[in-house]
Amino acid sequence: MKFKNLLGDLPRWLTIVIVGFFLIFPIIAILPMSLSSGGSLSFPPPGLSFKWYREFFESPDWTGSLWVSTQVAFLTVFFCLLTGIPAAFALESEKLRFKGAITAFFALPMVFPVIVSAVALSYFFAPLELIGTKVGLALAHTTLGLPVVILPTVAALKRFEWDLVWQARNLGAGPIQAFIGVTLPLLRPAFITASLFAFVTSFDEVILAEFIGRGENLTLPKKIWEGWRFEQEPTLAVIASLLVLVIMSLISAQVFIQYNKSD
Amino acid sequence: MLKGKNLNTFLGLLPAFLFLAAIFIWPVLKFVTISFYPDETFSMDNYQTIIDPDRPYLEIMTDTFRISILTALACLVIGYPYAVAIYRATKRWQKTLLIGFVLLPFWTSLLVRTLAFMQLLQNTGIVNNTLIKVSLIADPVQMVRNELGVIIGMSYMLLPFFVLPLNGVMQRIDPKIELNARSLGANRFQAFLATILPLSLPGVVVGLTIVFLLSLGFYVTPVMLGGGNVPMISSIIARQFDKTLNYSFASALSVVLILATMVFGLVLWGLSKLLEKFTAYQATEEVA
Repeated sequence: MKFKNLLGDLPRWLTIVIVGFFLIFPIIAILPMSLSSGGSLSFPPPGLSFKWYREFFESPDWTGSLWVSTQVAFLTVFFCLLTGIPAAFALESEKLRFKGAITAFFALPMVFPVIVSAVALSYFFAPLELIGTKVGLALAHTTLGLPVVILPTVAALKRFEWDLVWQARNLGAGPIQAFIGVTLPLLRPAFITASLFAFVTSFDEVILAEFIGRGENLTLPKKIWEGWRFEQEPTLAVIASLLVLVIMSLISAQVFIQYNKSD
Repeated sequence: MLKGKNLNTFLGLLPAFLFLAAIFIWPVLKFVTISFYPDETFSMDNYQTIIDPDRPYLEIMTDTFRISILTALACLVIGYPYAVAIYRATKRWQKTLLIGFVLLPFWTSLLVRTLAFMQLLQNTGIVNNTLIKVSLIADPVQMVRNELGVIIGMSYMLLPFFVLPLNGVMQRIDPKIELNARSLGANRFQAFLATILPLSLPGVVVGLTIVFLLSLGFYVTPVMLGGGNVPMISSIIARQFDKTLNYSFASALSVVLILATMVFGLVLWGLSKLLEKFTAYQATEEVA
């Protein structure tokens, strides 16, 4: 009986293995590529060495752009939280009509072809001298980050137990006290999740960075984009590995927080 | 009048609204209008150039559509069996793991994955080497800087956008329906054809639509894996804007891309709604 089941499941297991491999392999392959002792990107690498990591961290160009990416990402998170959290609260209010349409409006930049957003924003920012500035790029990234902040926050608000706030008020807390003492702490995991998503969205964004992030302040993805045609050195794989590691650790942090929520 | 709670709601939405209006809606609208002004006067010259059969743009657009359709089909071939595998997974952790596999590339940088893909698909890369070693092919297959590479790359990047909506629909299919078919005498394959397949079709259409629409405007992967040999609308827009500095023409191309996306989006959305009506069983709605 069990043997027969296994045979029938063979196509299914084959699919899982093949597709799963297809999905994971390119990501895993990056790490060995970055540890290559050879002079150019290759897989599998001829030998293993940390020299490209050393080269990356000793290069002010690369570490500089790592810093720029981080700054832009933090700015983006700031703008997204500032505009997105009030919007999420508003979207949860019962009195609001057309919630679907409003949510779709906020999600619009994500479904819109980014190349068009990039050139349009670049055209718009140019006379405002926002091209090449971290603020300008952060503003652009915020258009992509807003839905990424609003949607999880709305989901968290849906699950929120407003009774707890009511009870706090009942026990004598004023409205602001209740908000700061009860609502905010309970929503902290959701806020952290939203911030992480917004950070990742900005940190690894390349199209808007290509058109708006020009000049001296280059983000990491922008710098990679500039050089990929010429520089086939494993340095690129180092950056790639670092990007993967940063993003993976952020996502893991997010998952960790999810599982530690007092739900 | 706006009082109390209504006022709060309005104020809550205001920053986000103003922000998107100022940093997205207004710039895009402004940019779109310059497509009508190649010189100082209003004219449709740009659009006439685009649909002129003697110019390359019409062909580039049809190429873009073709590549997008092929990408969507590739996602279908790879993604549908995988979605069925998720559906068939009996334990919760199995489902989570399989979906996690699909989400993982989604959250690791697009740029990184495309770079890795470029390396793997080289003529001397590991894919070709392995295929030669197992004697499936004699000479390396050209998979970079050509259309095949772009399709492979894009279907890889867009696979989650196919699997996730499809999985969403399939989750709502009541497993009892298939059981009923089996108990009435159908074998596994017949039961699948008669129950799961039709019920999953609306999800398939949604998934294909999303992949198709995203492929139309996709920029990073076609440019990198195409190596300049596979012009799609997105790369032409970039080139007109950046190299030729022909902002007006870039704008016209953008308008065409936006319109195409909107039109196809509406048509395909209507199709999926129609399919839902034809293939829905009572039981599915009860589960949902």
